[in-house]
Amino acid sequence: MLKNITLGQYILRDSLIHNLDPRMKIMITMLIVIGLFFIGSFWGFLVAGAYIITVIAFSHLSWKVVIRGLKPVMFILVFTIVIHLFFTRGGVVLLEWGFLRIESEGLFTGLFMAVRIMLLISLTSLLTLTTSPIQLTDGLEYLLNPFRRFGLPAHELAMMMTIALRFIPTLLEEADKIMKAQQARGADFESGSIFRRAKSLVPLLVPLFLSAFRRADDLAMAMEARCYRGGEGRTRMKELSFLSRDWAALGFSAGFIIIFIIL
Amino acid sequence: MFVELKDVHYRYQAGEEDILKGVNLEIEKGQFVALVGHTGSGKSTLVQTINGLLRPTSGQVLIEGREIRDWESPIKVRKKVGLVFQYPEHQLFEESVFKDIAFGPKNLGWPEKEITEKVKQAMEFVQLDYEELKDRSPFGLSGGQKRRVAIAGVLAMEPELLILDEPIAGLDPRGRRKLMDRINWLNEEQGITVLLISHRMEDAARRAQKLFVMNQGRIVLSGSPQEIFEQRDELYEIGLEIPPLNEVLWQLRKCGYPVRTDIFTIEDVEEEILRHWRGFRCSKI
Repeated sequence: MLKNITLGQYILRDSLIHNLDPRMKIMITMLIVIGLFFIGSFWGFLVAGAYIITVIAFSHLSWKVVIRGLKPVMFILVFTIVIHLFFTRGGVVLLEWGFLRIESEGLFTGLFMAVRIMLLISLTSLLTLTTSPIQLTDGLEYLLNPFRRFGLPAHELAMMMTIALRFIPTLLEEADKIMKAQQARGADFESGSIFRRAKSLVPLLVPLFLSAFRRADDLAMAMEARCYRGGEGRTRMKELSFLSRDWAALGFSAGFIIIFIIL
Repeated sequence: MFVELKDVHYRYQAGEEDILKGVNLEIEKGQFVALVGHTGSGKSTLVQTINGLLRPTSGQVLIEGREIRDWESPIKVRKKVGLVFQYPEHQLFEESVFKDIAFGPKNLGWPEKEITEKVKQAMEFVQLDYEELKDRSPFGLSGGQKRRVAIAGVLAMEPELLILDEPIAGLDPRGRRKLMDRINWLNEEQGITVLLISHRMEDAARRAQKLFVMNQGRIVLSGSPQEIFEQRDELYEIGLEIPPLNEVLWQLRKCGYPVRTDIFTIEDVEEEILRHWRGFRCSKI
């Protein structure tokens, strides 16, 4: 049952978007995300939507994958619309029923926010869909490097992220195994009140934490055995370097940002 | 028939290849059987269908003639069929040995007094001293002891079929021998039906009355250990090796000595070799 959980899933393809420098992808994503918050009209969203559709087309991914990424936030979307519908006042009264009243401003703001969230999610999921976790953390490390001067442990943060990502599937598998072992001893994880269910997780969580600590210990030892002692003076096999396509992608995206902010 | 699997298929996700491709298997009450196959052959998946942890995609799993799905509750099946996973010591979680072993019986809703009794008995079954260990933390025990606590945790539910998935993996030779002897004892003296899973032939050879050999989701060979070891070349082909002793006999036969190949205790093999060693008589050294 834990097998269905996918986190930061990456889909391997050979496409322009996949081959872009991860640093550039992260920077562009950040710029667009900031840009999305400056959009003031639906026309702006239309242009931003067109941008995302272009990126999907260039990434050789199917639409379904990106849309599937929106499913987990469905609840938030509905929630946002409902809250705005009933609590944002202003404009013409569209519907009145007892103490409930829907006004045009509410409908407008609700939809506006929902579209913004949808664009935000599909954009960021495009980043993780086209960039492998390793590339992602590599890119982050490069981008955070300038902040080392102010005491930010850039390399350590990136390493921690890499390790955390690497262990997600391992720990899920482990959890599945322990769950089955406890079920074989008659444990019941699926029924009962919330309180009972929370309590029933103890036989799962204790062994899971123990094994996580054991693995962490082993990993630390194995890294030290290979002379790892932090980021100081460490070189890398694959240096990241910007190519002309990266600058082209930046220019293309910047153009879009300017257009949809102006609209 | 105690346990019967009829044409069991299983796959994890629709569209993927079947892990189990039509398994048929029968286990009689009181038998000691072994399931042998290399890593990834589907052994562990197969045994999880026997206590209802996995539902077969198609086919039937019958316990005492009744399809598992028709049992009133999954707990009833799991009480009857005790499953000890690989490295079971990784499932320990309670603060004391007693509490951990009592976890299963508690889930069955047994009264306090009975639980104490069953825990005591289960610890005796795996040769752990009740008074000395019951209040100790299971995490402070040795590796072999931890494993025995975990096995006791399943035995305390008084299963009629005990399935052990690679129970001696990672133990030292003495620990291996002791645990195997104890499993044998559970079968012979307590009448518990045992299904042992292993990727090594020699673990299974001496104790089991019947062997099932699995390869790529199917049972490809079954029979008594004698019958199975006769098929050395077939086993070799699917990546399994017969025990070293039998391999010696096979090699001798290849060299032209008409030795028997269906024996597997070191004493029998010694005698067989010496019988053919012309002009040499064993004067016990």
